[in-house]
Amino acid sequence: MKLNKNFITHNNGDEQIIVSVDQNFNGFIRNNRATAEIVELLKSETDKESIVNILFSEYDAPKEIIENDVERILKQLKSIGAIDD
Amino acid sequence: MTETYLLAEHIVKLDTLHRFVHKQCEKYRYNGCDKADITIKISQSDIDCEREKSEREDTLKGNNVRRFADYYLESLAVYRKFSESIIDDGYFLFHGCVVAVDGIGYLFTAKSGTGKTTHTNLWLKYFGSRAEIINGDKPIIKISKNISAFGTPWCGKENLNSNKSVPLKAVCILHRDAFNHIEYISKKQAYPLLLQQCYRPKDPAKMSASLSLLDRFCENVNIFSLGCNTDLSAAVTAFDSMSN
Repeated sequence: MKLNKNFITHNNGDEQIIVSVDQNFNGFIRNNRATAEIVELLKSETDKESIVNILFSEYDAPKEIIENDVERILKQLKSIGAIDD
Repeated sequence: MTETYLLAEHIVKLDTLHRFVHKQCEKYRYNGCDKADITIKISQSDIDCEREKSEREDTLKGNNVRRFADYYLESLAVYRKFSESIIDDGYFLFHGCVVAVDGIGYLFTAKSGTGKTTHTNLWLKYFGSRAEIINGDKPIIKISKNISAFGTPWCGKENLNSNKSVPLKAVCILHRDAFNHIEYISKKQAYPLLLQQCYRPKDPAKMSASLSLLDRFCENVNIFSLGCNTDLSAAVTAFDSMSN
């Protein structure tokens, strides 16, 4: 999976945001640190397992919690068309 | 039909299928000899794209699909192409109304229908000949050492625009309230609406450039939130804070 080319990220100094140049999604997403990191990883072809492993090596949290968070965030990104499978 | 205009410091050659946009741009006509910075040529497919875009937006919002004449859609196509072609020079299109008092600009923005025009009309009434509308709906904002706003022929249904630019002192997000009050707000608080009011190019690189311009815009003007009614005192409340 990979971030759809119509979605771009931008760091506005306060936070990372995602906006779409596609008319089907007119809003924007404010990303916290973990989400921003997932989105950065999605700029290259990757999969859920790889993302979980990278975050698990960086965050002091149980793997199960990280898996649930990654799944939730990927689901949200997919729901707005931000991820190409 | 081909004519040349001076729009937001750019010499723009317009080659169009219909006369309407030229009538719209009449007071921006360029009579100099310099070569055009930008040439915009409109084809029927540009007009058809505008129609599809408009219909898609109406459908997405759940509104009745509006039908527009080709000449009107051509004007939108011209403005879209113009707005996108000046982003790399540090100019971007913003949805709002710029009113100037004594030559200093103040930008009001809000969701459509909130009352930007009603409020800025209060400024005209209160300040009289000291005030004028630079652009009633879609000013071009220039980001350089200072922030400035430009009148353009594209300015909303009231057709309020001046062929000039003014330094921009402050931006204000407006909402209706029973009494008048104004507060300074942070970029982070203002960002969602400001982003929504900023023109979104379809090209990802131009979108990134627009976002960077929006950041610089937010960092270089004071941002306020104004709750206001329709009393003349609303203009005084806004001006007293925004001009300081």
